[in-house]
Amino acid sequence: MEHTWRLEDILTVDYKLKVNDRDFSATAEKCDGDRLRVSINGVEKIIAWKRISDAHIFLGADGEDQNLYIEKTGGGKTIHLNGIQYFIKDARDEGMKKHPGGLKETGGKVTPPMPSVVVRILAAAGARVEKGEGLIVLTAMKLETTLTAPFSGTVLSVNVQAGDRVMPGQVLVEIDRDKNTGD
Amino acid sequence: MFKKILIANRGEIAVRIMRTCREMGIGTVAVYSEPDSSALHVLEADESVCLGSGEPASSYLSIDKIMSAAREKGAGAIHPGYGFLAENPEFVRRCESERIVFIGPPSGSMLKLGDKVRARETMKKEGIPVIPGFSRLNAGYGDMEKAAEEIGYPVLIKAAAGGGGRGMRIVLSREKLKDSAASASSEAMSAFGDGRIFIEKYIERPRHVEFQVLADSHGNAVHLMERECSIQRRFQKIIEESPSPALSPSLREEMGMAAVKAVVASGYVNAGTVEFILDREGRFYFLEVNTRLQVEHPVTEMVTGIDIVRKQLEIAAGGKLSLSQGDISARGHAMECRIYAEDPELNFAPSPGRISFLKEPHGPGVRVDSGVYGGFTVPFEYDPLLSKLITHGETREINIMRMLQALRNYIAMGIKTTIPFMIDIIGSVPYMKGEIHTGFIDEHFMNWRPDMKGAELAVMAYLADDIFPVKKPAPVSAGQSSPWNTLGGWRIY
Repeated sequence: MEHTWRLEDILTVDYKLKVNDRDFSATAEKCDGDRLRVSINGVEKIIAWKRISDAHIFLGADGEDQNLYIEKTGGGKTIHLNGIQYFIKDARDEGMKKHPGGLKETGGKVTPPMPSVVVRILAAAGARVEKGEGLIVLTAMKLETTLTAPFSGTVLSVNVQAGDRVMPGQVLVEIDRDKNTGD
Repeated sequence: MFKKILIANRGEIAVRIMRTCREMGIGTVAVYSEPDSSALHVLEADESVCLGSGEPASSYLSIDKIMSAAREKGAGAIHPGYGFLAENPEFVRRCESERIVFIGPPSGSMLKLGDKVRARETMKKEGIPVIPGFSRLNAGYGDMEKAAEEIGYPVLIKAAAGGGGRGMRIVLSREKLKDSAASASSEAMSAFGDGRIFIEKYIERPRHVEFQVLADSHGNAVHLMERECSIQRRFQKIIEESPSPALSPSLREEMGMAAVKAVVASGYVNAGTVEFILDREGRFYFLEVNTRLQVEHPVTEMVTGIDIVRKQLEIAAGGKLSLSQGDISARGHAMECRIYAEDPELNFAPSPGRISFLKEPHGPGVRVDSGVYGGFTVPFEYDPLLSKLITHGETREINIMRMLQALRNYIAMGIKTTIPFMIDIIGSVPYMKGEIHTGFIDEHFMNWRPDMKGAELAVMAYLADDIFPVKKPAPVSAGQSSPWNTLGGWRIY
């Protein structure tokens, strides 16, 4: 089959990537057909690839073929290879979430990492809490998890009761941080 | 034989039970909660009944609702699976009084064995060794503290109605006893509706070896060899295998005989499991009898070639065991990895949510008992077990390689799973050598991080995916005509 070259085909694209916490600088350039010229941390390679489905890429490099599976996840892509997952994001995307699904405690607002049910409240409004002290016990998938104070301070409010169903983003407890401590 | 049964459970075990029912020509009735309305067990059943909201108490734990569903659908028997009502004698009594067959032991035998404290006493009387402990359940905290001192720390707190690690705590010193007892009791209360706890001596670096037993209502009982379930996290088994690398033929025979004695002594009928702790000197202690079909039963099915669910149904229908001990032999090696919706890189936090893509492994000797499918939303209300991956091979060495390949070809997206963690355990030198014990994960995998040796290839895939993004809608190559792009605005309804 005849191939018509277009401008976008011959452009080299530069990437600054983070794989979990490792940095990779890379360039990629389309060659003929199903091949790609890449350079990863300065090492050049020609790779052959084929898209099998939206989620599935068949890739040949260094004389070996591999099946890789690609998932779009919070601000990047998760690549599945031989049972291991590699979370890759563009290092130039500032302000993106660090890792998908992480425990989120922004400022003094304590919110659950996953949908769950409140089992017990351990802190009362007005009480002083030390960093790491238990605030609230949640259950999800039959497992109890204790959300702890991200820093020492005073509990401003407890917004839920035992038995409530709670969602990520919902503020369960709010803490006013101590001014004199560094943590 | 029954014409139709109700399966009072969800997930992979409900699906697995239905498979055997279909082979036997038995109709199946599924029950489900609202968040499970599109769950695999509902899709696989002949009929289904919605019980109520997602909370277990108003659905899978509601005896009234399940009994009325069974009556409404005309089910002659109820299979409880594991968990939920499987070991609830109250439920068995209701079945008995309403003349619906409970596929499991009679309530009297379940009462005797389900209460771990009473079971210990029964076994002690039979001369089966038990672990030193304190089991006066209504004792005050002071008595418990005194007993713990006498037994000597570390001690293990367990739930009287327990199982599966719920309500269990290792206590290293007296200062920690009170807090651990309170939290164990509260966990037991929410898991089993019974907050009573007891303590026993904690045996260090033990192996967990259990025997599968079958007993009919005519007084016949056999065992189907052992399963070693020493690889555990938070007291939850995660990898099981048979045969155990630790058992000599004579120890196997001795333990198997103790297991059969244990079930006969307690008037047990149906499939059950007698669990033992095996210490480093090869001494074994009775732990408990699980009066249900176990999560890990496929391991035994693979080595013995016996369908345990079929045996359960035959026994429940009043049939005689067609097997004697001499008929039972094991071939090769089988193992099971439990695939949980948990993030192993985030301290195994539960990872419920929608499975956006799923590809399960296949091949000779590979079995997947799954309760989910691509597109299914894993609810947060229930246990995180998605599926079980079971492999069978000629030898342990061959089978470990088979399991590794199967794990590497098991792709689940949208949620996190324990697969990467499993790969590193199975592939580790101490696991391959069979040097396993219940503290194996704490000893070798405490600060586990996945091996990122494929990072460069992953980057290549990222680049290829980025340079050639998925075209939407699905591309039709230019120049080729297809009825779908020449039809224009016409549609046939």
